[in-house]
Amino acid sequence: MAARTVVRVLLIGWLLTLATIISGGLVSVSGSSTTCLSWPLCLEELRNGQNPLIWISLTHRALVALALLAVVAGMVAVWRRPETTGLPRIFAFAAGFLFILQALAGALLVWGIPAMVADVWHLSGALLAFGAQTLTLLLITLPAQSPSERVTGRVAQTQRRLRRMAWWLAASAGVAALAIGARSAAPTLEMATALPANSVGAMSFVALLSVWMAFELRRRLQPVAQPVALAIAVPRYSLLLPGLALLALVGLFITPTGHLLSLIAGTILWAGTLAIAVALQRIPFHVVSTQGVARPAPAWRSVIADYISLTKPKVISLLLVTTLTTMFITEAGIPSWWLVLWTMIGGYLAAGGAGAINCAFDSDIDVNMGRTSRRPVPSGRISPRAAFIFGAVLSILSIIVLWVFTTPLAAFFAFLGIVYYAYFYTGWLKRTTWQNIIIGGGAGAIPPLVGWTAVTGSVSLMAVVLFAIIFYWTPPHFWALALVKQKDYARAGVPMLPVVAGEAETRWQILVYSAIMMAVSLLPVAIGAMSWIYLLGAVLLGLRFMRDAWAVWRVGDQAAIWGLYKYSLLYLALLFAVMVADRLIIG
Amino acid sequence: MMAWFIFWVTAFVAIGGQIPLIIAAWRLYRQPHLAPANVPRSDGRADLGWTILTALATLALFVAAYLALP
Repeated sequence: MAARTVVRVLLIGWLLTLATIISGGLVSVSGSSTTCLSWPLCLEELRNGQNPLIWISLTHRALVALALLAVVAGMVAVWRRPETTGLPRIFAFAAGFLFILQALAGALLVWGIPAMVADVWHLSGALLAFGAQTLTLLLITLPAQSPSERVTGRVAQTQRRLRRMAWWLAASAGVAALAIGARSAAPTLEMATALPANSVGAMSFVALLSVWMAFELRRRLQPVAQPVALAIAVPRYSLLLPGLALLALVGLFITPTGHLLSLIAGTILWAGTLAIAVALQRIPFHVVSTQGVARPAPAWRSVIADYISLTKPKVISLLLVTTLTTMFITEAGIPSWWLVLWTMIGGYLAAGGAGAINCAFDSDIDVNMGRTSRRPVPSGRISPRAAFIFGAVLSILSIIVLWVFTTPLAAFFAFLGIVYYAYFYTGWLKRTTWQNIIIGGGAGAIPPLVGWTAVTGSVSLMAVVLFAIIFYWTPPHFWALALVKQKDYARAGVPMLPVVAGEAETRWQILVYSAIMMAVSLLPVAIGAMSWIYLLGAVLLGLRFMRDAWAVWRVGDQAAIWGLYKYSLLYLALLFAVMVADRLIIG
Repeated sequence: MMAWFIFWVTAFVAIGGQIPLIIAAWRLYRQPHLAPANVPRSDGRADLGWTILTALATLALFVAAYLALP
C-alpha cells in the first residue's frame, strides 16, 4: 500500500476518534446516555420514544463504529507496509487495542457495570487510543532524518533541553487530558482513584509549562533561520499551546458545558504537544544556543539571580519532592491544597535559608572547587555577611510560616534542619571528619519529617523510616560525586572519604550503604504502612540502584560513577512517588 | 506472614550491614591514611563512635519496627 494511502487511512481514523471523544463528551454533558439502554443499538427506544436526546447517543455510537473500522484499517495498513517497522507498528497496534477496549467499556456502561470500570475507562481508553494514533501518524509522516550538520557543545545541549522539555510537556498534557476525562465522566472521581491528578492542578501545570515551552521555542528556533517549512511553523504556532491550555482550564470552572470545552481543548492540546515533541526529534532545526542569545542582563536582575542561587534551587527541588510526597502518605489522608502550599513555601524558605548560610560559611572551600567557585560568594558578587543575613532572614521567615500555617512541630523540625545543616554539618562535620556525609545526611533527611508533621502534628514510626531511607541514601549519592570531584575536595582541604581513605574503600562503602538503604526502603511494607504496589516499585527501583552500586564497586570508572550519581537522584524521587501512588490507589 | 518475612530479610541486611561499616571505621582508626597535608585528620575514635552510634540507631529503628509488625 502506498505511503500516502496509509497516511490517509490513519488521518481518517484520527479524525473519527477525535469526533468520538467529542460526541462522547456531549453524551455525558447532555445526559443522553440514559435514553439508550441497549447495546450496540437501541431500536426499541427509538421506535417507542420521541426523546430527541436519543439521537446524540446514536450518533456517538455510529461514530464509534466508523472510528473502530478506520482505526483497525489503519492498524492493518501499517502492519502490512514492509517499510514501516518499529515504533509506528507498536503504536498502531496499541491504538487498535485501546480503541476496542474503550468500545467494550462503553458496552459495560450501558449494561450497568459500575462507574469506575466503565465511566472513567471508557473515555480514558479513547483518549489513550487517540494519543497512540497521533504518534503513529506523526512517526510515519515525519520519518527520522540523519542530521545534515554536526552540532556540538551548547547547540547540542540546547537541542536536548528543548526535546526533553517537549516530551515532558506532552506527558503532562496527556495526564491533564486523562484527568479532565475522569472529571467529565465522573465528577465524584475528581481525585481519580486510578489517576492521582486533580484536573485543575494538572491543567494549570500544563498551562505554565506550555507558556514556558512557547517562549523557549520562539527564542531558540527563530523562524528566519529555519531550513524547512515545518520548522518555521513550530515556533510560529507554538502560542496556540498556552491558548488551548487556558481554554481547557477556564472550561473546568463552567459546568457542565464547560467540561466539554475543556475536553476538546485538552485533547487537541495533547495532540499538539505530541506533534511538537516528535517534530523536535525528527525535523532538522537550526537552534540558537544559550550563548547565542545571551544578552547582558540588567544589574538588578543579576543581583536577584545571585540571591536566588544562594538558596541552591536545584538541591532544594529534591528536598521539596520528599516533603510534598510525604504529605500525601500520612494516615490523615489527603491534605488541603492550602496546607500543601504553605508547607512548600515554608520548606523552600527553610532549605534556602540554610543553603545561603552554608554559602556564607563555606566561601573559603567553594573558591577552591571548580563546581562551586562561580557561586556568588566565592566570586565576590555577594559578601559572606550579606549571604548570612539573607539566609538568617529566610530561616526566620520559614519558622514563622510553618508555625502559623502548619503545626509547631513542623516549624520545630524545619528549625532543627537549618541548625543541623548550616551549623552542625557546614561549621563542623564537613571540615573535621570523613563521617561528614554520613552524619550530615541527617539534615537532608529532615524534609519528610516536616511534611509529615505539617499534616499530622505528630511523629510516627513511618516518618522515622522515611528519615532513615534518605539517611542511608545520602552516602552513595554524595560519595559518587566526591569520587568524581575528589581532587577539588583535596585542594579545598575537605576530608571526604575518597580523599582520606581512597577510592577502593569509598566504592566498597557505597555498595554497603546501598544495600542497607534498599533494605530500609522495604520496611514500610513490613510495618503495614505500604502495600504490594510500593513493594514492587521499591524492589525494582532498589535492584537498579544495587546494579549501579555494584558497577561502581567492581568497575569504578567515571561512567559507572556518574551513572549511580544520576540514577540516585531519580531513585529518591520515584521511590517517594511510588509511595503516593500506593496510598492513592490502595488507600 | 509476608510482613514478618520482609522484616527479617531487611533486618538481616540492614543490621548485618553495620558490621563491615564498623570494621571499616576500625581499620581507618588503626591505619593512618595518606591524605594530602592540607586535609585535616579526623579523630579516629570519634569516627568509630559515630559509626557505632549509627548502628545503634538503626538497631533501635528495627526494634521499633518489630514491635509495630502487624
